[in-house]
Amino acid sequence: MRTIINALILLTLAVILQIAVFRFAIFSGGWAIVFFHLYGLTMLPVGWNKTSYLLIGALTGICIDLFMLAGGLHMAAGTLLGLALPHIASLVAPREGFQKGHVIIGFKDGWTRYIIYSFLITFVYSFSIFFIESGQLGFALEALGKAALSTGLTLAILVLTHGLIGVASKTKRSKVSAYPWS
Amino acid sequence: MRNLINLIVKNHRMVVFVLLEIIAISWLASSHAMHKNRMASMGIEMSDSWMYALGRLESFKTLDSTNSALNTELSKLRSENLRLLENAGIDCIEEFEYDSPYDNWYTIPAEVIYSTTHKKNNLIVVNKGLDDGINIGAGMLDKGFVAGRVVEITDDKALVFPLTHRKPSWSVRINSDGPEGVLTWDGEDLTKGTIRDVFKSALILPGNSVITTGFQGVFPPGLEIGTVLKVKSDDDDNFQTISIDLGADFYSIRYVEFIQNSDNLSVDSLIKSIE
Repeated sequence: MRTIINALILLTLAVILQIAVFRFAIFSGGWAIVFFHLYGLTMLPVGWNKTSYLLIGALTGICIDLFMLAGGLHMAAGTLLGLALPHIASLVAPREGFQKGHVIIGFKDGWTRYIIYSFLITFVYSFSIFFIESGQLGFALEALGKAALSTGLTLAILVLTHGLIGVASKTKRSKVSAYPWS
Repeated sequence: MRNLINLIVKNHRMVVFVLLEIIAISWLASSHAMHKNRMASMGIEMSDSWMYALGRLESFKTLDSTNSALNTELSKLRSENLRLLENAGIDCIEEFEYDSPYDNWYTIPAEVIYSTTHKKNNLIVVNKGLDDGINIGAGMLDKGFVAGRVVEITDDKALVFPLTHRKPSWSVRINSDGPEGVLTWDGEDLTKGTIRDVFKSALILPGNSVITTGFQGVFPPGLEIGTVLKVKSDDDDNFQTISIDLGADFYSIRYVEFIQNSDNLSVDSLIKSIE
């Protein structure tokens, strides 16, 4: 239960940061955009009911759309990501799979796994956003280019944030040890 | 109904996904003019395609009767054309009475009910016979091209030797004022025929039209048979062999016309009087 609450709080914080701060992180004439709220989605525990990811994705999108006046764009992309999220998690899972409620963390699961997981999430989301925004198949290549740039930028920020939060939580850890002589 | 509910419950995740996407896209369309226009044009395109498909389906349903009606109309037009050609001749040459070659020719539409394409001597059977006014010796046309002649007949059916039968030979002319020859079929290719007995001195070129002479009494002169494909001179004799592309399509022949002369009986009796 605690994991669930933590994940939802983290997601809310990420959404708030996206709305308040990262909404201005638009570069190269809209070709590279930061989607920081995806950090909250990457930190969701795996193994939940698949429909819940769908609803969380859609709700996250609705919040972003409401405050950033994107008019359903993030909701459409978030819903698609919600559908894909369990499959992405199973793609990067080790051979024995993840335990129910496991959160994919770079320090524990390895950075490669975390980066691949975040990359897939960010790419699916970015491509959906730009493809839906263009509104036609003819712009699929342009959408792909924009998605690639935005994925690169967002991924860098997500990995950096993840690293910083991880380091902070490690230093905060209690110094009382069960083995005081060590 | 129960099965439907079970199906929805089983695939509830996809149902939720589709519903959420529909909501998102509707929201997007209501807030972005470009998406709104795009969706409207997509809707119009889809509706157009659907109506077009429905229309085609409707036309397919009536295709058979339409074909039949067109065939009848075509036949009437051909008869009319023959009559007009006759009148045109009289109008142009007023000084003397002109006997048009198209005088007394008329056509009757029919449908092929049996035809062979793989034999050395192919046959065609049509759904019209004596009761419909067709007689033995009537010529058969496929889309205006010479296709065969009636050899046997019952009250409601007629047996036709097509051009792709090796037995009959056809009197033909190359171009309207060119040499005459005899057209036969070699039993191989349904789209080709061979003209023999044309003198080497005659200049024949690929692309020249091959028409009827009208000498056999089966067809009036000038009806199209096909076009010259290849000309080959024989060293042994003084003739050349001409390969032609037949105009009639024996692979897909279905609606045909019979052309016959109401005056044929008097011609026959005239010929018999000297035999």
